[in-house]
Amino acid sequence: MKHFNRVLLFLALVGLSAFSPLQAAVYHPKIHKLANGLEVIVIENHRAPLVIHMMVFKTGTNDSPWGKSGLAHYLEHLMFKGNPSSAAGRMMQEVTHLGGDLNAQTTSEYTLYYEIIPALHLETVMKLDAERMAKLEINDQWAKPEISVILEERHMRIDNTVMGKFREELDAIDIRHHPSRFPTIGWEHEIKAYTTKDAQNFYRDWYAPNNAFLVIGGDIAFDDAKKLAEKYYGSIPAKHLPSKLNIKEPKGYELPQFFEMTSEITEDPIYVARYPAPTFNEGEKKKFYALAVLENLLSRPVTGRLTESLVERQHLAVQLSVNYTGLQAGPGRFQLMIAPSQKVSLTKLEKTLAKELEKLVRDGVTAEEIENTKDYILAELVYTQDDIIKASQTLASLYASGMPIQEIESWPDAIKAVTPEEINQVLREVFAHPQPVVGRLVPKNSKKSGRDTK
Amino acid sequence: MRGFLNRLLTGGILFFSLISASQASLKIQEVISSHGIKAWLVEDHTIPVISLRMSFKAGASYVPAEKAGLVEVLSHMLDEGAGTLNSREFNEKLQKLAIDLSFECDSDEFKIFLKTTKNHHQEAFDLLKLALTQPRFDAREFEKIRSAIISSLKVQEKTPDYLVAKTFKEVLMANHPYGRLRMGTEETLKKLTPHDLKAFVQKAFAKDALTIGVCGDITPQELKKTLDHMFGDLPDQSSLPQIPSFEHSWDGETKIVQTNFPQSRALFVQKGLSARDPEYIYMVLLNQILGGSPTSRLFSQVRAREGYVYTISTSSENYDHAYFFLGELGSANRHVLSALKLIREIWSQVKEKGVTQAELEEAKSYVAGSFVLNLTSSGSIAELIHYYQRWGYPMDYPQKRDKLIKSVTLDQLNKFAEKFLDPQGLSFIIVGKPEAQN
Repeated sequence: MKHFNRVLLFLALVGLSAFSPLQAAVYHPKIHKLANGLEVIVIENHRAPLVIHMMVFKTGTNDSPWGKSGLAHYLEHLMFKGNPSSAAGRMMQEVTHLGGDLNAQTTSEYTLYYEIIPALHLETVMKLDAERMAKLEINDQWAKPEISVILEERHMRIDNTVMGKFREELDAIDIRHHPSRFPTIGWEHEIKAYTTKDAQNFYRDWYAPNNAFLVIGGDIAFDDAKKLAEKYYGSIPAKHLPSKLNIKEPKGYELPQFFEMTSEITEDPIYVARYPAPTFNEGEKKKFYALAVLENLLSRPVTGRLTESLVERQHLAVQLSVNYTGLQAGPGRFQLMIAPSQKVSLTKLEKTLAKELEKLVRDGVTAEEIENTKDYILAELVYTQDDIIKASQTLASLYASGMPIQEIESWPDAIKAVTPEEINQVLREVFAHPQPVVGRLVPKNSKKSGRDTK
Repeated sequence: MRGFLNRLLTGGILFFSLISASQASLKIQEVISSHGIKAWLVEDHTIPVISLRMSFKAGASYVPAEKAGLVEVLSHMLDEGAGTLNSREFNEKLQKLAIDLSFECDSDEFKIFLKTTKNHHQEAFDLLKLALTQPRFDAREFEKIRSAIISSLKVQEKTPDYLVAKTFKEVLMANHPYGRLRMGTEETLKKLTPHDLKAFVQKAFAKDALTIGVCGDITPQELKKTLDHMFGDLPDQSSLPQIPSFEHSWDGETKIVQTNFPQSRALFVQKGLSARDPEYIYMVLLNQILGGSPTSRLFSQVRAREGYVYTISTSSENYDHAYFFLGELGSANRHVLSALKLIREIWSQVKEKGVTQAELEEAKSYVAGSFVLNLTSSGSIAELIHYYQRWGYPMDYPQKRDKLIKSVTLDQLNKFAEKFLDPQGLSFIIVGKPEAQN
């Protein structure tokens, strides 16, 4: 059974899934560090004459100043704006001229810019990217109109969609203190208050070679990439970087919290439970890998433990997903999200789920379940070299989220090493003393849809 | 998993930004098996992976209105058990062997995606054959899938994108099978039975309805055997009814679907051109100049200059028998009417005054250069050569295309634009709460 769209709409917004297929010496990246601190990571793949050039700044919306949520995303837009004689102003036109594709992405922790181009044009793109890293003129003429573009982006992504709003509210309730509680795109009233000066300051503070890394994937030799990177990025001076606010989330809630959102524009309820969970960046590596296996063990299509029970056997849910976010600076979460079948009340679903979880914690998982899950995870590895774009993007996002290269390359070994005891231990830790934040999305007129949602 | 809305909006195909200097490296071979089954192949033995992209001419429009949604249900049911394997066993096998097998449909085609390692290719081909020839359609799984689709439909129905796509189908393709919704309605879905699926499969899965593109670690000889193995037992000819021809009849109208969303989504559409038409290349270039890129007229004026929208783009939407040239945007309720007015003006400007030599050169450069973007994986190459076959391109098209693009002159393109663009015939669909501005 394929996944259906509604959960994916949700997942797409949850951010980086902890899980991406890798294998021992997975990508074979070669690394060169410039004197100014910029790391250049090259994944050679000579199947087709194209390259992806990806500049990642290790700053995201978490670094937005107080009262200016989403500022990092505003700056991302401005990296494509400017006088036609400037690199930022020419970027789109030049890359398009070369037949390339380009885009950018802002997350809570990093901001990524990429271009996919015929390999022979790598130098042109590098020159442009280096220029806008060294100097970006931000002035009212270009910066002001972009605010309404961002407002429209916000309306499209969040305000026009039930799941966008549900997730935004849930984040703000679930995460009490860490800045990842704020929407990546920013609150509407704060977007409206951005000034040109705000953007200039953010760029000045965070956009520096020593706060970035570059991934080049595709039809390029390491030595050539190294020379080009030295030539274009080598002369950009390093900056003294502000220290990141090291904000720690307080311990989870003492008691479970319930949040209910009613909506006119949905007919089907959704149930979400978010459990606090340990993260990689807290140094809980073993637990991180165990939870990554558990995520998959519970929810992979058809054969996962909870999928098999709630969707396939009991038909209580039409869709179920488990999402572990354990690879970021903010608080870790282990999230269950379930769309009940028609005529199944959320109460009934919650009761059955509680029983399943109780049983899991009490009896643990079987060795066979774990082995099958590992096989499933590792099986996809063979395709890593089939898609250079995906490979480069995965590596970049893992590295940007704080996983060292060596760790990324040995990921499959870490998965293989996960033991039943470790899984049972994280099961107990996450589920045995539940302080989850539970969110329910219910139709406004649930009588009309013939469903008991309480 | 591929996004539903993409699928709904791309009943045919979205634009294709093809081809350049490096396609000399893309060598397509034609393979014909002893049963007469044809496929195109790009051999690549550098990585032990094989990707196949196949389709039957048996999309969502090939069922009567009261069975709308049948083909969608089928696309979810084919991996729910076949032969002696139940759903769980079938999926366990796929998962264990790392075989990616999935099915989809659009208005015209039932699509099959298969990706396998060289190691397990025999098992992969066996499983696909089993799914096509002995699907079980167990009642339990049928219920499960049906209710999942109904549930998904209910969520979709409230989203602006779905409403735009649905209105597009209802209004522009009323009284034609293309007007039917791919997922059907709750009512039609509830009436479907596993028997309907069986009956459809028997008529639809036939040798003459197949189009196959293959890329990866397989020789022509191996592929020939594979084709006979997988498809040799299928009937020679499809017995589905033909899709009737389509008359474009909705000109210059505006349809507003009132909703309470803070942002309006809008679609602007006029008659398009078949990808088989010799003038199609002009449309590809014109699309690029009008709304196909971030430097296009629409993007630079409606987004960059006025800030009316976050997204705006144009593309070609081609069905076998219906062709549209269309664009989409999301805009504040108070700006959407101004945005659409501006678009009509840009349409007129380009029709009357043409585009500039510089714009044409830019478009040519992009369209030629971007060919390599189709080559990022074995799957994307299989997709490309499937597309070529579907639209009747010659096998050496990759080698010819650069020249074809370069040969287009400004005069040719502007004559085409004058003939093709239809500012008066441009129709609008708006979902939202548009506010008139003075």
